[in-house]
Amino acid sequence: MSLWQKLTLLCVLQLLALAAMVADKQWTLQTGTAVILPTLPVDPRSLFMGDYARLNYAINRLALDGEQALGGDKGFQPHDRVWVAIQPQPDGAKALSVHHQRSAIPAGQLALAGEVQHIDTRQAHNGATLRTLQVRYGIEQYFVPEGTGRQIEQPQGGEKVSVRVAIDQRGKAGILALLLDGRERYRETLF
Amino acid sequence: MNDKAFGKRLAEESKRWQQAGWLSTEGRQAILADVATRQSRLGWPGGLAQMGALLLGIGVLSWFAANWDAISKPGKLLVIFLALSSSHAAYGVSMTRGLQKLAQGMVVLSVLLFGAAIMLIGQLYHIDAHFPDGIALWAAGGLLTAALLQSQPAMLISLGLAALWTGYEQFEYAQMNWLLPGYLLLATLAVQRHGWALAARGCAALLLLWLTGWHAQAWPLLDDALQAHLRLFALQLLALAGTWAMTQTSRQPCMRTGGGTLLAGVLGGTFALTFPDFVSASGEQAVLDPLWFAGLLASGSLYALGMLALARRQTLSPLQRRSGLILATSFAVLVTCTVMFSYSGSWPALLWNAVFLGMMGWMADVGIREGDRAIINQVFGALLCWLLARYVDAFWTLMDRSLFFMGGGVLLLAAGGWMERRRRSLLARIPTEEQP
Repeated sequence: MSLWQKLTLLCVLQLLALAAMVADKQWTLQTGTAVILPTLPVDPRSLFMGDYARLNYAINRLALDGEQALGGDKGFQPHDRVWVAIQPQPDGAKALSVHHQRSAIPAGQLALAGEVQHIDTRQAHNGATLRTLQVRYGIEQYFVPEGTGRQIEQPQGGEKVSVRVAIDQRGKAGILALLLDGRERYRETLF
Repeated sequence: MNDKAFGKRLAEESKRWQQAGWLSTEGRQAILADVATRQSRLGWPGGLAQMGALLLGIGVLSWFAANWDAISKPGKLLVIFLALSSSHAAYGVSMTRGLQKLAQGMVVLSVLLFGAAIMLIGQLYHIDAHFPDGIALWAAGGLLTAALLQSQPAMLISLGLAALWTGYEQFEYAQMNWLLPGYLLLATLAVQRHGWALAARGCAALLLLWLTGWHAQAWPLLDDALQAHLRLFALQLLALAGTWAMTQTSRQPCMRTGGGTLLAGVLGGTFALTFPDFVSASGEQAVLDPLWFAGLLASGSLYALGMLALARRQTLSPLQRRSGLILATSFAVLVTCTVMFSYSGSWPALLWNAVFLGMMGWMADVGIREGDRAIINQVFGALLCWLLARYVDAFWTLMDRSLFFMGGGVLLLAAGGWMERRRRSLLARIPTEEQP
């Protein structure tokens, strides 16, 4: 193989790897079921990548004990892969149960894959231990044009920030659009 | 190998060839003079040109960084594509014009740009995936670049990224990185094909890091963590010793060099087992688990094969062969005892100390036989560490603190003086350039 053939091959393979990253994301966005998730954004700055909104959802914190406890499995460790059963609702999707296996999620419910980041433990008034899973789904940050991150972090005049998310058959999620008071502020496009 | 290192090595080797009668004095001088005249030196014009290229690159990068938000998405994709392809084209042009060093610089730039492209694509499409996966993709791109463009610097960057990848997976996320052996296999094939000594050391160091990462996991099959990890450690040590022996039978000098790093791992592991507190973690329960037996069988087979291959290749005196056999068998028996039986007390540590000292003696003998001063110096460095460790182990618990410092100080002074005399006397037995 000549030098220029090798260089062409290298360039093509590198571009294919980058294209695969984009294709994987687009597959989720194009084939996934859309749900709305209300957010609590914070800390809109990445040292290396510019402005981004860090997004918190109600489904990031899953109670294992107490009155708010979800159904499903109870024993988890940090970095465990979890499957969360999601119920889409007009005012925002809700988590119903959390499991180790996808097969445990009943048919008809959306399955969202996540990773346990840590487990918060606290004592209730009656002395019982209450555990809450902090789960990450890969939709917790959204890059925005420089200087606009603060608008999402601190919406003016009681604006509500929510996110339209697509969840595909593999349980992967991707952000379709960022909404301010239900109106699209940023929309994800291929080009 | 760079020009300066090559010239130095050639001067050393040609001296030996001249002594062996393979090379005349005139021939040696002519070769060294020819090499000296062809060694490249960085002149002022070349230096200014390189500085200019660097400044131009910084200027272009900072312009795009400052205007990044103003560029449309297709524009950003085009910038990424152009950056990647122009670094490859610059490499091609440099190579065709015989500018080897500039070409290597372009390869390094290409690997760095591929990493930047991964991050920028991640940002453009809001891809928030498992963080180490991005580093793995970057390392794979570096490996491909190194293999296709025959670049050791690219391979070294790729190995560094792979170390970061496996470090995150195994230590931060506490998940075994089962993809790394595949990466290591491909990297080793490229290293062996091109004879890259430094990258061979990098591969060996990466293997050691991966094996260490096994102990950051909670293995579901192993019920007693502390005992299990000690047994696993002993098995790894046996397999590593076998792998080292196999590398020493390779015809490729770079594989033998990489094996040196594996040997350092074996010696470091054996040194850890010389600590009484460490070895006593073996516990009280007898182990008859078939899983451990299978592990021992696999590691033992690798060890036996490696040692047999090494023994066949070495030309040793009967005494050296006997000593080597005793040392290799003692090591294997101690590992077997650590894995299969339980024990308590300090006698296992005593035996491991004896094996460690035996290894040091063997290495000193190798250093003298091969005329390698570095091995002798490393042996004495290791012995000094061992002496300090045993001094702290033995005297800290037995004596009052003031007596500990006084007695220990005297002992170390005496031992240090004796060791330094021995080191000099051994080094004096190795012929130098001036004293053939």
